Amino acid sequence: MDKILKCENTAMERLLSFRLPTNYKMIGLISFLALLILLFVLPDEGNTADILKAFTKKLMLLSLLAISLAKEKVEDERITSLRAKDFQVSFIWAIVYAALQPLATLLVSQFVEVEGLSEMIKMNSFQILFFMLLIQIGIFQLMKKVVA
Amino acid sequence: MKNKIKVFRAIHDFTQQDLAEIIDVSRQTINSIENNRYVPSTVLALKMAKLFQVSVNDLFELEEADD
Repeated sequence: MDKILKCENTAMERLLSFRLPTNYKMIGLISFLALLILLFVLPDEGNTADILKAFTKKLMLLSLLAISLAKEKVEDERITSLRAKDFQVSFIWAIVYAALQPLATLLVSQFVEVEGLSEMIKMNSFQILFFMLLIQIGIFQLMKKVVA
Repeated sequence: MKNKIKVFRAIHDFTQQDLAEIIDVSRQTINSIENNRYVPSTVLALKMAKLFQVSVNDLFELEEADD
């Protein structure tokens, strides 16, 4: 039993400490910006365009994840501690966003004419994950400079 | 928690960068510790105490707010 627990512990530690090399931060940023431009350039209508847009969005999430998982130049215990706090904050904010954004849209629609309201109220996984990753990356950069 | 790392660093004539390189952390981490913005782990505290040849208690001191 001890052996199994030790093995599980090692596997868990390996998973938690997984990081991409530092240069993935730049690779992720460049590909994110390129994909963002592509998203605006793609035509609005059409079956192929919809598939391409959906695919582009998934790649954008992966680019942000690469930035998020990239190692710092010196990956020490302070960075590990900041990361832990940062993931906690971004997780909470993502839930708050997912819960409140549709309500806010609904509230605004009471005063202003909003086109496609039912579509706007629906939250998809891309919106939530995109928001969570942006918050995580942004707060981490801020924490590195301000908090500790 | 207060600490005297800046004092011991000056005694040993180390810059923040020197100390950071010896104990394998970033210069920002040393700066944060010195300014009481980050409390180091036991391992890091012991590494610094060993380097300065003092006890951890000589380096770190609890404040009333920590009680």
